[in-house]
Amino acid sequence: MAEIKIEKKRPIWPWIVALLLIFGLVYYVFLREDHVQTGNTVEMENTTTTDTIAE
Amino acid sequence: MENKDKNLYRLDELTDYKVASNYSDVRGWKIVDADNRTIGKIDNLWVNKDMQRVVYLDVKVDKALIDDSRNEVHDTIANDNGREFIYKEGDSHLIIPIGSVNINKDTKIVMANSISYDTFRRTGRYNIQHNFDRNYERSVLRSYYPNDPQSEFESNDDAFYNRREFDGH
Repeated sequence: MAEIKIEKKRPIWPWIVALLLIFGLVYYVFLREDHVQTGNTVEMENTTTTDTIAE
Repeated sequence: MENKDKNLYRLDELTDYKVASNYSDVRGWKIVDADNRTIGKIDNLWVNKDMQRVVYLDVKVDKALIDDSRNEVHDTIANDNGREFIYKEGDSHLIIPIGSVNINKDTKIVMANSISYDTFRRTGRYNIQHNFDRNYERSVLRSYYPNDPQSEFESNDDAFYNRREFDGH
């Protein structure tokens, strides 16, 4: 004898919110690292120019 | 809709419900009788929302069986002119209580092991455009289980489904 039960479908929106949060977090982490690397490059160029003039 | 009063719904009407995990969604599967003859295909599942389970399988009956029953009606009319018949054009569906079948997940076939081809041929069908009422349910159960006490079919509420024919155990 067969039996088939039914159940409520789970809503999908919590998964969408979770994915957006993860993407947001990843985007924030990578963007922050890019800002730090750009600042260091500018300082090194200034130092090189100064040394040449002094000689 | 009368079926709504009985908490009876086609599963595809309940957009927020689905067949539970670990149970087979048999829509589209073939259904056979006690002698392994094809009766038709499972077209839909009738569920009782309060009981959260399927109570009937809705079968789209094979044309061959419809033709056979039509031939039987014609023979009956030829032999007995006063007899009334119920089949109308478009009556191509019938219902089977879930407890009356077994499910083979490997072959994807539903087996009505206790119901013969002749019984299916004689069981009244309904038109899917019009749904069915409790009287139709009673007539179907009487056709499948003629030896059951008739008083057991008299309930008008969900107690109607507290029977072995709807129980999978």
